[in-house]
Parts: sequence; C-alpha cells; structure tokens
Amino acid sequence: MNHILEMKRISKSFPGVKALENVDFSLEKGEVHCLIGANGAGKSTLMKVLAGVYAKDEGEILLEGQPVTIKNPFDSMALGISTIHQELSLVEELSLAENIFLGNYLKPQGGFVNWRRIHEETKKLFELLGLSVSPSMRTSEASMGVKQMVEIAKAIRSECKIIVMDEPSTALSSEEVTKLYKVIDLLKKQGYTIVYISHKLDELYAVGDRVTVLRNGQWIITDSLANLKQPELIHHITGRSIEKEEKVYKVSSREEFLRVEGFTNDKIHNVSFAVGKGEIVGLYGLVGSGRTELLRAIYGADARKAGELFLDGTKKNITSPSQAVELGMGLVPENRKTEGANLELSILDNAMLPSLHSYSKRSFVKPKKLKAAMQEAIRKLNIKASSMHVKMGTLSGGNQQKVIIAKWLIHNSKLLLFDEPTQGIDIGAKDEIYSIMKEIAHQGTSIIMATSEIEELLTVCDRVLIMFEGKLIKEFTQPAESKNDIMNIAVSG
Amino acid sequence: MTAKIETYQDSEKSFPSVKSILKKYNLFFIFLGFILIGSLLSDQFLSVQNILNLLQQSSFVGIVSIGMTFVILVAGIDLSVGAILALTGMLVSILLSTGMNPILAVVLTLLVGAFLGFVNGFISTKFKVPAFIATLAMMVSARGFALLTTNGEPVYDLPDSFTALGGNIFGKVPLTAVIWIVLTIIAIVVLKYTTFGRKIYAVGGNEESSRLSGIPVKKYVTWCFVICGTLAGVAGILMSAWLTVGQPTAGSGLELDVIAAVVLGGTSLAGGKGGVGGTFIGVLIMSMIINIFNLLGLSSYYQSIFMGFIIVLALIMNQYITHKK
Repeated sequence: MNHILEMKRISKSFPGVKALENVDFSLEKGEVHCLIGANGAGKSTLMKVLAGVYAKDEGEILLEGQPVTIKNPFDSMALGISTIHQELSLVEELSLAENIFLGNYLKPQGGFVNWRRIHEETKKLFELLGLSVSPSMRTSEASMGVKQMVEIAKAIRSECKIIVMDEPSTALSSEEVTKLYKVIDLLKKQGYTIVYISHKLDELYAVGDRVTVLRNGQWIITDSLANLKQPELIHHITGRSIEKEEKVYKVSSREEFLRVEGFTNDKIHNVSFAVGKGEIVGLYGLVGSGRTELLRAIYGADARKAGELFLDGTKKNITSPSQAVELGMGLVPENRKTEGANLELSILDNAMLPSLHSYSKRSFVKPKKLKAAMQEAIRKLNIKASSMHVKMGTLSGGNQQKVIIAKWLIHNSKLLLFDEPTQGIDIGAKDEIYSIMKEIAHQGTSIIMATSEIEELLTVCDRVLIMFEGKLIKEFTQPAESKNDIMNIAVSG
Repeated sequence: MTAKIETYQDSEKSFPSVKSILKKYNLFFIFLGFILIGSLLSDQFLSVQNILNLLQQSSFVGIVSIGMTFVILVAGIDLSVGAILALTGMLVSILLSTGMNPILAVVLTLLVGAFLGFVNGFISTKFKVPAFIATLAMMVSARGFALLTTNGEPVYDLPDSFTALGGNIFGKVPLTAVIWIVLTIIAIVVLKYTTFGRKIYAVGGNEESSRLSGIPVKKYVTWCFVICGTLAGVAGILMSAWLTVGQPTAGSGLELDVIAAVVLGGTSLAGGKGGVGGTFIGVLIMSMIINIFNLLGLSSYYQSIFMGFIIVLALIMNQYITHKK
C-alpha cells in the first residue's frame, strides 16, 4: 500500500467527553477519501488534530512513512496538509488574487508588491480550475462557489499534497457542486490526495474512492465506496437502519392559524397564503427565491412595504421580532452560528432567553424553575451536553440546533418558522429534528419550513409552496406524489 | 431517537480542581499579589486609615466603572463619562448656590445624567453612529457646556447638608466608598439574577441572535448608556460634595482610567463577557498602584509610567492564565 498519511490510534479527550478513541485513518496517494459520521462522531476533531488546531492525547501520525509532530497549524501547512474549513477564511475586503497570495505576495523585491505577476499567477490558477472571474474582483462580491475555488487555489499555491475539505458543498448551488466535483477530479489526476467531509451521501458516491466512518469517537469502517451500498453505509453511520417513513396525509380541514396577504418588500412580491393549526407547510425554491426573506418578513425581522398578517383571525401589525415572539412566534434561523446561537453563553441562557420573564418574579429570575424547564427540554429533545451550563459553542451543530428549538418549545410558541433547519447536520440528528417537528405539529403548533432539500419536504411537510423570484407560484397538497413537478417548477418558474 | 440515552448530568455540583479555580479567579490572585507587595513595601499599607483612604480615592472611578461595565458588556463604549461627571458636578453646585433644596438638586442632576446617557444610547442605536464617535461628541460638548456654565470658574460655598455626602459616617468611614460598594453589590445582583442582566449578556454575546430571540436590542443597549450616564452623574455629585466645590475641569481623562479598570477587571471589549465584581477589583488594583507610589513618596510622573506598564502586564498575565490549557 502506498500510504501518504497514516494516523494511528489517535485519542483525544475534552473535559468530560472522549472525542476520539484509538482512531486509525490512512490515506492512499491520489485518492479522494470521504470521512463521514454523525455530529459529534469525531470527524472534525480528527481533522483538527491533523490540521494542528488540537493536540492529540495519544497516537502517532506518519507522513510518507516518517513519523511527524504537528503542534500547530503552521506545522501542518509546512508538511503539505492544507485544510479548507467550513467557514471560509478569506478576507472579504481584499481582491481574490490578494487572498490567494496573502502572506507571501510572491516574496516581493524591496518590499514592493508585484501586482502584475500576482494577477498573472492567479489567472493561471483560475484557468486551471475553470474559473472565469477577474483576479481583481473583490472577494465580498464573489459567489460562494467562486470563494470555494479560491480556497482551493490557495491550497494549490501553498504546494500541499493533501487537501482536507470540510463540507465544501454546504453553501453551493447544485451547478457549483458539479463544478466542484470536476475540480476534485482534476486535482486527483494531478496527484493530490483529498479528504472530503460531507453529510450528503450522494456526494460521497459522486466524488469518493474510499470512505471512513466514525461513530461516537470510534473508527467503524474504512472501505471502498464501490463495495459499500448506501443502506449499509447509513447503518454504519447511525448504528441502526433507517426506514424511510412515508408520510400519511391527513386531508382533514384544519382551523386556520396564520394568514398572510399581499406581503411585499424588496425581495418578495405580493405573497399570500395561510397555515392551519398543527400544519407543517414547506417553502421550497432556489437560493434567492425569497424563502428566507418571506420568513423574516413574517417574523418582523425585515421591513415590508405592503401586506397584512392575521393570527387566529385577528389582524396583527408586527414590525419587530420582539412583537412576533410576544405573539407566540419563533424563528430557527438559517445561519445557526451567527443568528441562532449565542456561542459564548451557556445552553441554559440560550434556551431561556425569550422566556425569562415567565420564569421570574418581579424581574428576578427563579433559577430552580428555570433549570427544571431546561432539564425537561434537554430530555425531550435528547440534547447531548455534559451540563446545562456548558457554553453553546462547545456543542455539535445538531445539538446547537436542538437548543435553539428548545428555546421555542420552552416559550410555548404557536407558530414556528424553520429556515433550513438541518443545514450542516448529520443524518441521525436530522431524523431527530424531523420527529421533533412532527411531534410539535401534532400538539397543535403550526410550522413553516423553508428548505432547499427536496427529501426534507417530502418527509415532513403536509403541504408545499413553491417560491420563484420572490413570488409564490404554486401549491402542492400531496407533495410526495409530485416530487419531479416540485423540482421542475422551482427551477424553471 | 438515538440509542444513547443519558449523557446529561448536572456537573455544577462536582468539585472544581485547583487549576480551574486559579484560572477562574486569576484576577483575584493578582489582586492579592498587589496587597502582598504593598504590605512588604510599606508598613502603613494595611493600616485601617490607609485602606479607608484607598476606598475613598477609588470610589469616583469605581462608581463610573460600574456604568461603564454595563456599556462594555453590550459591546459599547462611553467616552463621555468624565465630561458628564464634570457637567453634573457643576449643575448640582449651581442649583445649590441658587438655594435649591439639596434633595431636589441631586434628583434633577441625576435626571440630567440619565438624559445625557440616553442621548448617547439613542444616537448610537437609532442612527447607527458608532458608540465611540457618539460619546466622543458628547464628551466634547458636555465638557464645553460644563466650562460655559461659569466661564470656567469653580462654584464655592456649597451647603453643609450637601458636602456631608463627601464626608464620613460611623466615625471615619468615607460615605462615597460606602455608596460605591452598595452600588457594586446592586449591580452584581442585577446582572446575575434579573432578567435585565441576563439579557444584557445575551445582547453583548450575539446581537443578531438576541434580536431574533425577541429581545428589543436597541432598548437594552440604550438602557446601559442611561445607567452609565446616571452613575457618572452620581460620581459628579459626590465629587462636588467631597471637594466642596463645583469644578468644571473635574474628571478630565477619567474615561480612560475607567475603561482600563473595566478591562483589567476581565470584561471583554467585544461584549458579553465579564462583570461588575471584576471591575471592582480592577479599580482597586489601579488605586493600589497609585497608593503604593504615594506611600513610597515617588512622584506622579513615575506613577503614570508604571501604571501603563502594570495595566499591560496584568492583562498579559490574565490572558496567559485564561488561555493556558
């Protein structure tokens, strides 16, 4: 075997959690190796050990047969390992070219930067990657797909041998993902070894040669993807088999809870619809179709120019999220880290934020009542944390999302707005979140879910609304039977 | 649901390790270190009289620092506190010199302090002017206004009933120090145990997620500025009482001492982290440095030089201890 990298018996503990336990991971030269596992399975930790972000407790790392020590990110880079993190590390205010050459600027003579050479070199890299944008474009104006390519260009520039991509497709359009596959293929042919981390199984099969599955910090299996069928792989990831649950549609008429009429602002145009009590309505459409904007407008987070909103038949004029929350709404926002979670606060403080006044007397909080409510929510939602006092930032994505949902459960919200609720969340936790949504709906709460995952719509929603260029263009009352129509209409309008 | 059932436990009751105590209370140990140094360098350092002096001298910066902590916790900054202190100090003195009832004069002055704080908050939240600039403008204007009231002259002959605020109670305990300590305790309780306090931390930690959780963020930020302005007013009133004159140049440069003390006390300029307890210690450490220099008979020029060094050193140590694995 021609192993370019071997990680042997790697162990890593955090206070109270064993994140990795005797994990083996090896890469063959020139392969695309997928790494998969549920949230908290340890795949990020393993890659962070490799990238020098975390120091391992035990184990050894061999690079081309030689033992190496990686103490910090510089060591890792010097050894030719380049990591593209999920949160891209580009400087938004600089040009694409400057981002690629940031740090060395081609070792300028006399301290003056040779911009012409930098732009020429960037052009060459862009040609190689099939990018047709100008090197002098400001990064903040570039699409996510372009930014991802720039990160890859940066990695190539740094003369690395191994490129680790952590969920590279998360924010990309399907077109951009196809392009990414092509580039990965190209890199492979040029002899780069790639680690591809993703939650999306079809992606693994599209790009990967081999796959390693981790679960609960332990190595489960490494096998060629050609040998491993999807159900088997899912079984390895979750430790159980998932039976696709077919949604049973209740065609019974529901009492109306929310009605929106003629909602209009910069991003949405004359949107009208209604949601019944206990109903789950899906909002489907391409990125930029106005799904997020519609939810934010209903919630009062964005201003609207026209439109009326009725709750339980009464007209309400909601102009801020605090009014919306008071009226029993809750939002699970699209960007978990920047909009949903308060990473520095404990999960208790996060979950109790909207409900503080119901757990207080004369504005003094009652810690006992508070903790009891939280304990209940932790149990109900199966939140995995060593204590309710740990910082939100230490939890895995799926658990953070559950804390955000807990926030609205504790607040007894009557209408929940979910915006891409399972983005960047593994299959196991996804399923849990779906069951939670169904459970809440069953108890009479209305739900609107904006999503770009068709499977998600089909498993969860009672009804699907399609948005296109800011307009509501079609409604499906039997989503499962209309999968292809839904996708076609969402794409073509 | 997954097969794994219970990983949850309340670890609050488990016994903390020595290391974690050192880490959490490192500021307090630095504080003890200074006490030790002070007591080694001077016999008088730990005398009751010196401690009372120390508390008295710290109280003005201390009271203002409480308000500043609120503002910094919501990731704001208030450069106008020194000027508001001067303006309110002048205002209360002028009102008293017209023969106004002292209680009424004090209340009116506090309202003006609160109003100036409100203006700071309103301008920075409503018009999205950075707090640094909004309060810088307030600093310049309020100072000008303080000087304009009497053309830069001090106001003398304040009534005894008022200057008693700057005196002692129970024999020789300075009242300003008592007020500072009481306000500190109130602020600690408010931040830790009230819904208002919890929301302040939430807003400072992540403004957008707090807003989407239904917290009227601008209102809470503005409240913090109101608290800060009011407490600058309290300090202004007490300083006039203590000096027994209204002094329009009072509190020049005070804002920087105050910000230094708050940051030294462990409150993050990025917001969301820290508290008034730390600020209290931060203020005391800064006063102790001055106090030690005074006891040693070194000039105030040395004090300034060393103050800079020590603030940076203490923060480096704090960083080192907090981030050490």
